[in-house]
Amino acid sequence: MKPSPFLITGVFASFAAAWFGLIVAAQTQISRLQPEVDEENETVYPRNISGITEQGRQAYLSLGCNQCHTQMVRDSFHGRDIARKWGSRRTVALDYLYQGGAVLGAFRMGPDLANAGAEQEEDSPRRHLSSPQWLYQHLYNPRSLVESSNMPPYRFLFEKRKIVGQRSADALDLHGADAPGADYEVVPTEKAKALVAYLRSLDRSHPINEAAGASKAPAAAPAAAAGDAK
Amino acid sequence: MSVTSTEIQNPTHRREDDEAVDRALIDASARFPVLVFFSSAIFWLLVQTVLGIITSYKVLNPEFLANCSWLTYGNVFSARNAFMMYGWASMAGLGACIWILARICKVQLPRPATLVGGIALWNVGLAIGLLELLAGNSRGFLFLEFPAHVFAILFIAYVIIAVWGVLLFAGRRPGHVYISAWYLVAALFWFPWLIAGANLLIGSTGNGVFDAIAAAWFAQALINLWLTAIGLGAIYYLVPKVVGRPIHSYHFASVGFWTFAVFAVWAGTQRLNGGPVPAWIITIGIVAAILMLIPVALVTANYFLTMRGKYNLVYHSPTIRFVFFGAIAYTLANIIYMISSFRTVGDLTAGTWFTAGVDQFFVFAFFTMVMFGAIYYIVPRLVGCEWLSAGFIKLHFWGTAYGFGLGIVMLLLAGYSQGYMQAQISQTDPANVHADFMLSVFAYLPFFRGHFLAQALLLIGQVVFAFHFLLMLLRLGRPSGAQPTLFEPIQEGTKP
Repeated sequence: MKPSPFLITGVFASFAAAWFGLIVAAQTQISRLQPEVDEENETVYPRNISGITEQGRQAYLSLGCNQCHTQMVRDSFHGRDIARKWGSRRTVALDYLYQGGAVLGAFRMGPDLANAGAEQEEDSPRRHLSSPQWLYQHLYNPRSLVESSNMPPYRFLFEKRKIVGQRSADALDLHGADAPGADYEVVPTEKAKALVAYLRSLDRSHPINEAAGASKAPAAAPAAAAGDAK
Repeated sequence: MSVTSTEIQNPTHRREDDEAVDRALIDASARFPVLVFFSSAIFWLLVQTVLGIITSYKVLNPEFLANCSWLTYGNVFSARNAFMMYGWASMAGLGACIWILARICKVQLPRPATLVGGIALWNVGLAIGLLELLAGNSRGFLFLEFPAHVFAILFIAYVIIAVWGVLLFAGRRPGHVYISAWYLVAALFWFPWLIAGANLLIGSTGNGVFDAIAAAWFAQALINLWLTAIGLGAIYYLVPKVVGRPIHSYHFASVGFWTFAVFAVWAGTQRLNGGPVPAWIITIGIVAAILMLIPVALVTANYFLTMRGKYNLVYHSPTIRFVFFGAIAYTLANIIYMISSFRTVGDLTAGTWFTAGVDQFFVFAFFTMVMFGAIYYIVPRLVGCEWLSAGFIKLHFWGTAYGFGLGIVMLLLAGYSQGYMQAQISQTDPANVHADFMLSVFAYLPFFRGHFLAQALLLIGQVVFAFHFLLMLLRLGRPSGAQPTLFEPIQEGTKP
């Protein structure tokens, strides 16, 4: 008895079962998703991302933003995400059609960013996210804007340089200890610009059929979710 | 028990039976590669311990090293997780795996120097991986942090190493295959499939949800099919050896193995509880986590029945003390894992520190402790001397036990309070929902003081261990032939 056919076959069979039953099945289901086309309003959702937004997505992952920020809105059955105004509906697989990689995030140490670029109401607690200046300054020194934040500063995404001629339009408006001193200004690097462009692009508020039931009636969420399985 | 190479030169030194000579020859053939495995593993263990301290302190003080783009929280956190798995755990596991397989199959390791080439390549892969992760090229998934080309190097290195596993298993003498070999061979078989599969799948659809599903499954599969399989293989080998009696029930062991093989492959996706994932995928993960209790119960029962009446060995034998800690942690880790996978609990714990605590429960409290036990058992048989100081081993044990224990308990508590506060919301003041969220941050921060203290204890323990191991490499231990190094001398009538 040289090789142990029973052992090897059994071990292989168990692995293959899960591989096909779970992973390949999930891949088949998800790769079948197509953008939703609304012919009445002539909109397509989601749209492919490209250019500076795609660079921003790479910067987002490279800086490890996803280690503390999620991009997923859970329905009211599973959490308080919608009550916190992180989104008007739960996110579904279709929302990530062109967002590969670890954008979902595994940990939620900071607020969710699934809709960081969505339109915010005047009195919304997240209205600051609409302002690139606020985002830059928050990246530069989070505690200058949110006192109790424990987000690390990303000053290396900015460049301090001498003002030549006029002050740059996108120079940061810094005060106190952060102020760069007379004749100097702090401007975002390309990476920071791409990151902010990406954050501004994050909008998963477009109404889509799959999530409709879940956002309107929380109690119907499990039923809607179970429907996904079919 | 202590059979070393000295017996090859001087066979009359002790018992002259063939088995002892066989064992000595096997140990002599495995000495070089297995020691290289353990040395590499311990080096990366120190690296990941330091990364762990930095991560923990960065949570408490976000300004710490913040201006260094190489040491952002994201980079250090990624590197820590990657080196916990591929630097320390995988290398220690492979070393123990190769040695135990050689012993069980009673085969001498052919061409050990070539095997060292595979280990060297693995180390090259890790070194490149460390630079990549610190340069910000992490893919951001747990245990899949390295970029694909680093995994390609690790994969090639693994194939070289695994050839020896196959050679050992194929060269075994005819007859019964001991249960440890089942687990070890299965682990060697599963690992390349997992690595290759996960790397091919991530990004295959361009959809982040599928990537997250594949990564969540992969992370738990790596813990189960790779680390747990090696850990259980090692427990099934070490406990009967040191206790000096066969495992209690071979039937339990066999049923335990097959239920493990069938259920463990399905677990993991419940990490995404509440996420934008088809519900059936999460349900499968929950069902698998519950079914896992069957193999866990069988392994636990077998372990305690084998140990019955011999618990005093926990006070005497370093190997048994570490393995005892690991075996209990294995059972507890699976119970906590199962509880946290229920949807109602998962709603609180998913995406919090709790998840990290459960992962570390498996990797550290269970697997790492078993590997320490294995190293304390194996190394004296390879270098020809006994561990120098029981005091060092004690210091290592208590530093590690308190370090892992405190660190993991802090993560679990931090995660639970964090999740609990995330589920609360101010009903009266809708404008305050963000301030509400900050309460979940304030909820976990205090526990990180304890977590940081735990990392410091761990560093002390691991430095002592590394120093002690270095002394063994330099043959500066106590002379062999004497009793193995024990915490307390054993009374007459019991065997170390």
